[in-house]
Amino acid sequence: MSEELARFVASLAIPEDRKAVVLAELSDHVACARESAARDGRDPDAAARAALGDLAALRRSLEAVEPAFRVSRWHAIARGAVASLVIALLIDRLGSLWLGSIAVLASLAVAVVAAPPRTRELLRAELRVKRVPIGPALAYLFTVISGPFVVWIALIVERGLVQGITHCDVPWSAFAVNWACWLLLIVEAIRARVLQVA
Amino acid sequence: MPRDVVPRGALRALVLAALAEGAQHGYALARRLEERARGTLKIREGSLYPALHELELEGAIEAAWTRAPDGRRRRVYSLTRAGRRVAKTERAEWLAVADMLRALLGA
Repeated sequence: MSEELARFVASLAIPEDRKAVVLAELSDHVACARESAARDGRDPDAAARAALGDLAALRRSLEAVEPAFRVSRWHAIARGAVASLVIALLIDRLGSLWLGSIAVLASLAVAVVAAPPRTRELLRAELRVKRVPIGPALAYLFTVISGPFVVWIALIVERGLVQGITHCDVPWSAFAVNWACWLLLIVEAIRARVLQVA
Repeated sequence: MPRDVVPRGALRALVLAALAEGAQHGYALARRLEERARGTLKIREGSLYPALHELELEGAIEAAWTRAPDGRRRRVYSLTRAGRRVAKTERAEWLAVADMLRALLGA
């Protein structure tokens, strides 16, 4: 049974460090089931086999949750900061090309690519829970919402002080990622609320 | 015949309520809930551990490594301060739902 369990955990598509945690936890679970069956006069081997239930369902659930352990709040903020810098520079250089559409598409792609794994599922979990500190998904979104503006303010100040440029154009594309993030937040918050009520 | 499908979100509330009484490992938690349900509920491990891990990710519970009497490693879960607040809120919400259903469907 322990070899079967080890093979099962090794085959899971989850981070390597989480495999050790899951294996230790499930091994303890199976051992507890075995001990309990022995105490009650039942067949310990049958109890151990039954303890884990449907392995396919367990696999689906674990593979949905475990990858999120890769992402800490600081990790998400760091990803958001890098994405913000790239987005700010993209809009700054390409903001007026083809009415900004290229910059918008590119900046949205950057925001999606830089997002931590399973951001949407994480966001749903974070919005479902009340009064829990901001998690990695919200941290990433808020960083991407505010980060580009910090870079642009720095660029405006630098151009004003060093190059003497005292005017700046603000293309609509500068707000595209911002609006997309708020839209996602509003949609998911409403969804979380509706599911809670239902 | 025990039910093995707990309504969406209810398992979280049950886990939080059980942990509000003290730190426990997964197996003990499942058996405690089943004992309390007096044979009307079967906790599926396929839902229990992912639910525990999701609550851990959200910061509502935390895990610590200990050793079982035979020396094997064991993860024991307990509520965080934020988790205690979440447990209270979820308990109140599910009790309100239960009251509503009782009123609508008849006791």
